[in-house]
Amino acid sequence: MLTIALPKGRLADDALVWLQRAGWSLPATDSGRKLVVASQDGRLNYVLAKPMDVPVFVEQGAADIGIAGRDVVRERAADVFEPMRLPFGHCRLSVAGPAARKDLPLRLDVYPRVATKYPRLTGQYFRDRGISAELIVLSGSVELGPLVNLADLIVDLVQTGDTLQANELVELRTILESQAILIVNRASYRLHTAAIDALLSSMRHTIGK
Amino acid sequence: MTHSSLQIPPPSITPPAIPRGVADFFGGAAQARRQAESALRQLARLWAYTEIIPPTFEYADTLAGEAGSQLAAELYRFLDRDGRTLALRPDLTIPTARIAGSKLYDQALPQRFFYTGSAFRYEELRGGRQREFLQAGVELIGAGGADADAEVLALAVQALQALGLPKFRFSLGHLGYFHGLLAHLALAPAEIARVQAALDRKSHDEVADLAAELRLPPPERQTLLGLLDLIGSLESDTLARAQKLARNQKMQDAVQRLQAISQRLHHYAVHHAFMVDLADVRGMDYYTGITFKAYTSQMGSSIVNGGRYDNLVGHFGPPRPAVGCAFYLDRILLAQRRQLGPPPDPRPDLFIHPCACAQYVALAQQSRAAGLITALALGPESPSTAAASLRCTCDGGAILERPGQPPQRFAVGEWPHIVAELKSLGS
Repeated sequence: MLTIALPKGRLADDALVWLQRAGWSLPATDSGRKLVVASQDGRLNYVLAKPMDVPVFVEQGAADIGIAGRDVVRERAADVFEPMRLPFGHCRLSVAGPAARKDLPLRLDVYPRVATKYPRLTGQYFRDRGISAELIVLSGSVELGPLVNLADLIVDLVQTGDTLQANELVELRTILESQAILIVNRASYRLHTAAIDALLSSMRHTIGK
Repeated sequence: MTHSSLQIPPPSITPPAIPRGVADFFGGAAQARRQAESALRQLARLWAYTEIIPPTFEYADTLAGEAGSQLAAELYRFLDRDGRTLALRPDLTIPTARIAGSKLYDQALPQRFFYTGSAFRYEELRGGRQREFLQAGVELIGAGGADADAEVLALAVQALQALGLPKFRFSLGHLGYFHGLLAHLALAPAEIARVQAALDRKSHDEVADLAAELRLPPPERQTLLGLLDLIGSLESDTLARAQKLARNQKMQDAVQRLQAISQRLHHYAVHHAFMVDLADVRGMDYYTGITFKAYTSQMGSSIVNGGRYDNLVGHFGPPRPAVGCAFYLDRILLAQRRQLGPPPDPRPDLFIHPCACAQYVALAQQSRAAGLITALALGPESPSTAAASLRCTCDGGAILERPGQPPQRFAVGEWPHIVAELKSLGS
């Protein structure tokens, strides 16, 4: 039986739809508060984790497979296989700032304060451009940063841009294009090749249709 | 360690910190490490590999020169008193290559080496990685053929069996195939790095996007994407498909080498432990031919890494083909612990109580000579944790107590016989 880690929330709903279309049965019970649930046919074991933690579950081998946004896989620098992209969860990780500074190049900032939930990718992005940024690591409502003068810039996920607009922010740069990807533990793939290939090809077949 | 039965409060002083990435070993964990090392040493000896003991630190240039540029970023460096930069060894392959190349260059070939010891890398602590980690390994220097490759592969399988790992799988690749493909595609170094990263993640989509971005012609695109499908058991048609996909001699040679190895692995009867993965393009910079890794359940990172490195010894002496592998013993022991539970703590077979006539000394020495682990009951250890305890009665006799049995009284002259009996019960 393969263990698959899903990110609690929207992504899990989409993931379950696609898994079902590919012929995999869903968690046996309406999971409620249980976080580990076997599928009805007993072929899969579902683990529900916080989105940021899915890559960790898979890298460590607590789950054989996982579905996660590319953004969190990169943020966690998870050493896993990424055999396929999935057709949902599209978004981008962007640098945003107050509308007033729209045309000011980032390189002219001296020691900008950047609020983010993605310290690794954000740090890397600014370091690569020779800008020493002060990272302000938050666990939510990052777009609040500039409003309350906690930060000069933010780095956050953008889907439609509505949230940014509502908070009078504009997108300045794209760090990473993201979407849901299916990830596989490197050891599991070697130890359960046939089972994992079966899941991959059923998903590929369904998505290709 | 099991919890002590002694009711001693923890010391009131703050315990000293230890650096990240190192660990203390004692009790069962320490014993398991040493036992693993000796199991491998014994096996290696049977395959005619002799032990080599390189220094723990060397000049940084030696370890991080051309020989190991990839490891340079992870070296622990420090200054010698004359100002030269030293480094702790990041693996034992490079020091072994140095010794073979610069000191043993005129000795009979091939040379077979076994080593075990700590290596040091400043890396992120994840997936069972430590900064000081225990490696054992074998290197076969001066033999370039499929027989040498197969020997090291078969030895690696037997080694994991000897260590008692219930389930593991080897993945076998050949960098020659990938390098041949790169030559065929004529990519720039920066492009190669991106292709390599995408292949390493086994991301079909990323490889497809890259192929489009690099404007590879359709047949080349197909070849590059086809590489990702060249995965399967030794019995499957993977190598046959690889043969069809080969675009030049270098790629052909790689497949032929893998076929020859596969045949030999059948003869060793270890082929079931292997799968072929020609898209496995990760490895030490110094690898030139086959590369292989072993995996086991509940351990996300590989537990054995190995490959052929025909250009490494040449950095230190005359060029010599070479193949070898390293066992990550920390990860193997960790996997074992997760799969089979913690190793039992070593404990004495026998406690002997000191007595006024001091006859206990002779009794203890006799039981040690016979191979029983014998401890004097000098402190408050609970004798119930031992299989047996012995009390001299200071009148020419002694009493042996064993859990679940009535006390046995005997004359001290009989002790050697009783010891022999205890020994045979224990073994």
